[in-house]
Amino acid sequence: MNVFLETLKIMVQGMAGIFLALSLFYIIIKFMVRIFPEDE
Amino acid sequence: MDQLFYGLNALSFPQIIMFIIGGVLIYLAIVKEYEPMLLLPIGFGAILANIPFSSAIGDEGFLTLLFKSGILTELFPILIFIAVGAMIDFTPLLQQPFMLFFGAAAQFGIFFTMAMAALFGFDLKEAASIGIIGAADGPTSIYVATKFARHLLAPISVAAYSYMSLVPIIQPPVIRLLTTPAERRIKMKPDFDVKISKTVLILFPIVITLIAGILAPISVALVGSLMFGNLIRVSGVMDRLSKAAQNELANLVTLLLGITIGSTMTAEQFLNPSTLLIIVMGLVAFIFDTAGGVIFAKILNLFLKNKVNPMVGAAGISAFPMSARVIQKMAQEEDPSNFVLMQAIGANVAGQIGSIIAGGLILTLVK
Repeated sequence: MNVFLETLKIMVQGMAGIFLALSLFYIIIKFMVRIFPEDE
Repeated sequence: MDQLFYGLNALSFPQIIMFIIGGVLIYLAIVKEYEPMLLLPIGFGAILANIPFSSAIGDEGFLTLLFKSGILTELFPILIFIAVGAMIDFTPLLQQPFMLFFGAAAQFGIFFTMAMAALFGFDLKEAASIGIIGAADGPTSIYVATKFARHLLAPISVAAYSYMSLVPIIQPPVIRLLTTPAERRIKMKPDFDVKISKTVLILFPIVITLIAGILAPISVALVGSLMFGNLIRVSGVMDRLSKAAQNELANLVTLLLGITIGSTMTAEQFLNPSTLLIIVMGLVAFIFDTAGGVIFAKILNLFLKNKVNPMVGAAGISAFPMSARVIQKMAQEEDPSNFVLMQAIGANVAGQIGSIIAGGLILTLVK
């Protein structure tokens, strides 16, 4: 049961971590596309 | 005379079962064309490993040598990542970065399956290795399983590659169950007028490696090799090496990876109840990945003015480009004028990044 509870904790931390990392990537992509437009 | 038949005399029933399993994998590869580049070598490797007194395995066997030098050192999955990176075009994702969130949501199956595996009595590291089948990404599964549960490497690899090839069969019923015909007919506004400069294409792999590496240093090998391959591709000055990575490197390592994984499928390691459980849980992982992506898209639609076709969420798994194709096919079955392929490809590419980040996080969080 302890292992199961640990996996639930990792589930919350893992999904939060993935969303956090990909949100950061989202901001960076938006930023890069804006400061380095195609017609530079 | 005994010497001629000593192999036959040593043949056991479990080994014959493994010959049949190897034969089934070869059949699936050749006749059904399910991931033939991997299932065929895996199937043949399984046969080689189960022949009594096989000289292919054991201390001096060439497959054992390949296993020690390519899998235990994690070299093969890393080389595959360089090849995959050289094959990926991130442009559809850079044009519509919003798709990244589907690449995150569709990793849910990994963690759900990990929890299920724990309920079935696997320890934390074994459960994490089983859950990572849901990354829908063979090299990531092999990489994590090698670090956490080497004894489960064979069934995990077979499940990962088998289900990747079965995405066209697994995803549609799950999507139909979770969406209405009206939702499946939603047309998405194309967002491809954004032109991506070469500077952005070059900076993207470097910046992503830096950020992912700083957030989860253990993921540097995974992310770094993928992004190195991509940097070779987009740099424009290494065309020869880019093509070598996409062709020669990918083909050679895939060939060796498959037969080496197959060689770990010895009867005593493979024929046990946990293998069956792992195969079933691999399916659970793919189902809940798909459900995670679709449900996340449906939740987003509660707040968005321009609605998202929830099927695109399901393309957030890493199985590229099969998943995107499945979504486009389903969209056109509902409405022949609906075209969501490019959005689905964006989500699918995001899934490739998401699965590697998930692998890195699992390596970081599981102690």
